[in-house]
Amino acid sequence: MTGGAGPLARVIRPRAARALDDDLAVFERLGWELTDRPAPLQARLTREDAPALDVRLVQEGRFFGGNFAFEATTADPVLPATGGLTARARGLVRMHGLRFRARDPAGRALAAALDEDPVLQRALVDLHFERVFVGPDGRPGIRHLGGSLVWVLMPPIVRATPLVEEQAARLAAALCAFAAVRPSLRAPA
Amino acid sequence: MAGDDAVHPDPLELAALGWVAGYWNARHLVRTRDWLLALEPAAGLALRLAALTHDMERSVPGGPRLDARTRDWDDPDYLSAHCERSAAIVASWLTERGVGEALADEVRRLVRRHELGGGPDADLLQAADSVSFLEVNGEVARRWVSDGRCDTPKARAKLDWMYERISVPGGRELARPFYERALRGLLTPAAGPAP
Repeated sequence: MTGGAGPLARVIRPRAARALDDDLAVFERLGWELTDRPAPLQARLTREDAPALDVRLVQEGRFFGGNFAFEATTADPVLPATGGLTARARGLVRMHGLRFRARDPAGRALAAALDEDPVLQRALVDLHFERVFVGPDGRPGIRHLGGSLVWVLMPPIVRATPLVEEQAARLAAALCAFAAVRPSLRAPA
Repeated sequence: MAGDDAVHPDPLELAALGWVAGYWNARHLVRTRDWLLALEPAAGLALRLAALTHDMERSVPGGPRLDARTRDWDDPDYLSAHCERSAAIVASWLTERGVGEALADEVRRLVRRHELGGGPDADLLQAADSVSFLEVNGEVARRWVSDGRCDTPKARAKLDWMYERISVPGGRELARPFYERALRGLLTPAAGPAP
C-alpha cells in the first residue's frame, strides 16, 4: 500500500472491497456460503461436500494505476507439496487444455497427472483465466479475468469487471476437480 | 476399461461433458459414466447420458436438501425430489439441443430411477452411481462428522447404503476397495487422505 490517506487507500481499496462483495454474491447465488471475511479483500466460501475455497482480490500496481485481480484457491492443500506448478494453454487457435510445468523434480509426477486428468482439463477449457497454478503447499489456484477492478490515477478511472455466474461455477468446479485428482481416479483397468 | 465408447464418446456426450464441467462435483458424474461402461461395455447412449448428468439439479440453486441429522439417507421424499428435479433439468437441456423425444424421454426415465434402481438399466445406473460415489466422494463422510453434519454412525450408514444398494453382478466387487477405504477414513480420523 501507499499508506496514509492516498487515493488508493481512500477510494480504490474500498471500491475493490465492494467489487469483492459483488463477486461473493455471485457465489452465494450458486449455493456457496460466505463463512469468513478475514479482511476486506479476502473471504472464505464453503458448501457441503466440497472443499472450502479462499477468494481474494490481489493488488497489482500501486502508483499510477493498477489492478485488483480476482484469485481463488482451495482453503487447504489438496495436492502433494512440491516446488509449485505453473500452467500454459494448449492449442494454437482454440484452447483444448492446459499443460502443467513443475518447478522441481518432485512436481513432475503431479504435473503429468494433472495433464492427463480429463475432468480437470475439461473444467479448465471454458474458464476465462489469467493464470492457473499450484502453490508449493499443494493448494491449486486460479486468477480469473472477471471479478476484478482496474484503476488509473490520471485520468481517474475505476472500472470493475464483473464475474458472471457461469464463470464462477466453472472456477469453483475447476478447483474442486483439482481437489479430487489422485492416481486412484484414473480410468478403471 | 470400457469399450470404444469410452474413447470415442458420442458428440452429445461431449456436449454434456462441457455442461457438467461447470458443476463442482463433475468428477462424480464422469466417473459414473466410466463405471457404467466398466459394468456394461455395451451400455447405450441414453444410459451413458443419464450417468453423465444424473445429479445436475445440484448445480442449480434451490434444490431439495437432506438434513442428515433428522432424516435417513434413503428418505423417499428427498430422493424423489432430487431425482425428479434432475430428470427435468437434464431433459430440458437435451430438448434445447434438439435431441429426439424418444431419447430425451429415456434419459429422463433413467435419471428418475438413478437412486432407487428398478429394471436392468436403472440398476446399472444406480450401481455405477454408487461405485463412483464411494470412489470420488467416499472421503467426505469423515468431513460430515468433523463439520457436525451428522455423527459417525450416521455417516457410516451412508457408506453402507451406497454399497449395499448395488445389485448388479460384479458391482460390489468394483465398489469394495473404495467402500473399505472410505470406512477406514471415517473410522480412523487420524489417518490422512488416501494417496
